[in-house]
Amino acid sequence: MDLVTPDIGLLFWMTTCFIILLVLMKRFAWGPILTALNAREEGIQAALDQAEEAQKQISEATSKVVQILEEGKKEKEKLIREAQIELSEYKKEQQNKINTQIDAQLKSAKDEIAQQKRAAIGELKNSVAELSIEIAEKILKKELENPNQHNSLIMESVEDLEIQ
Amino acid sequence: MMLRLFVGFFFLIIAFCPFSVWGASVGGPGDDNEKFQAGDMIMHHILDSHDWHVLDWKGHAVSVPLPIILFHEGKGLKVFSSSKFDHGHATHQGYNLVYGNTTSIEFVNEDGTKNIEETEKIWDISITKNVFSLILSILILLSVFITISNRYKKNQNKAPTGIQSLLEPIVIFVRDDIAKSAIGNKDYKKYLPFLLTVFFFIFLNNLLGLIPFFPGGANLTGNIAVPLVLAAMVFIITTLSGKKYYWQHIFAMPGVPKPVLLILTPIEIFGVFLKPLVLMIRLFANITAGHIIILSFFSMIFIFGEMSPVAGYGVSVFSGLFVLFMMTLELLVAFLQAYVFTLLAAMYFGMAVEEH
Repeated sequence: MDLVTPDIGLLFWMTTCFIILLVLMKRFAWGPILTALNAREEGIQAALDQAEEAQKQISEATSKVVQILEEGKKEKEKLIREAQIELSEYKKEQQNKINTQIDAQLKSAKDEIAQQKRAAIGELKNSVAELSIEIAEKILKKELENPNQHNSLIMESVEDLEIQ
Repeated sequence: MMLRLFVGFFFLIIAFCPFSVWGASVGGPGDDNEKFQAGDMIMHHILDSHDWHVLDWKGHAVSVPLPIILFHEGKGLKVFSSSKFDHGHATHQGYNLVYGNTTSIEFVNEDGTKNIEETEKIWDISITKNVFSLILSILILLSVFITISNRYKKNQNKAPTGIQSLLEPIVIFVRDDIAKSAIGNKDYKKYLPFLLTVFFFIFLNNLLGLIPFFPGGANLTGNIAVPLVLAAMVFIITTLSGKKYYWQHIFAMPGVPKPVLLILTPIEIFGVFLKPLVLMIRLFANITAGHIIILSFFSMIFIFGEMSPVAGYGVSVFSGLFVLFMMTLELLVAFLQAYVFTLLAAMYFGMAVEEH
């Protein structure tokens, strides 16, 4: 039974020494070690957090750059579109101007043509009247026996000659 | 709870039965002419002694003398070297060293017979083999960890180097996987120094016990007194930190009918004492068993050697291989038992401080 009978001397030394060990270890070893471990872990955590924060800032900056680029692109497209619209408007305006000029010229030409036409018709009427008088003279010379009858006939033919 | 009770009884049976057989089979101090007694040799190695037997040289024992410290009621404190006893051949100031499984000191009369009355008055607090080993391990622990802690102070927030990086993962393991997980984030800090000290104390002494020559080889963690003190400390800390929830679960388990409580409460009260007891027996039995197995394999060489030298040489090959295997296993056990003891202590603390 020696094996399971605790020895009083060893019990005494074990209790004393272990308590001393516990106190010394707590004071001089575990305290500083655990504090240092905690500090280091917190340091690592802080560094990781900072890295994450920096990463976040970088990605924010990147997205801002992308946004700015996109805005620039939009601005450019807008400008181009506006320029195109202006250009087409200008073209249309010019076209209209040309068209009105052409119209005006055409109109004046038409007017002149109509005037010329009227003048020609007037001339033609005169010529016809002279011709009719000549014809009437010839008829008068030929048929003086019945002058009334022939006079009315001449008037009718003159009126028929008039051109609308 | 019931499972733990069964486990406890199992360990009690395991712990006491075979070893009491060992104890019974061991005779008195062996004569030189006697046959090799494996039981004597093994018991001598796993128990304590007042001098450190290193080897036998040409029939004489060579041993490291250790200080004998006696407190004799009525005669005061006596301090002298164990070499004064001349390995049990001489008495000193009336004291005699008796060799058995373990050495003990008795007071003898003038005629050389034991004075029972005076012997009972002796308080033997000598620096025995185990006490020497205990002090040695404490010095190792203090020097190693104070060195490390200085390095932590000096190289704050730097990567660990050398022995610091060897032990840091173990410290973190005890902190995170034993203390934090078993006790909880709120209360673990209070118990951490104790748990760390217990862990490294058991681990180092288990390892020192595996070294086969001086100054290792003392079966300190396998001596019942050491686990007893450790378990008693666990018991005291658990009891002192017990909160309302803990005591309520022992004396009046909530949700259990009154008649059942009549059975349950005594079992729970028994369990309070059984838990540290089991802790003690587990460590003691595991380490002692390891020593006994290794020594048994060595004994086989001599037992067969006495039958015929050839058989001795033949068996030594297999014994050596088995011892190698066992030593490797014991390295694992050394860590495992330190871990189990610390983890269970942490769990008991965790139960004590649990709140709802």
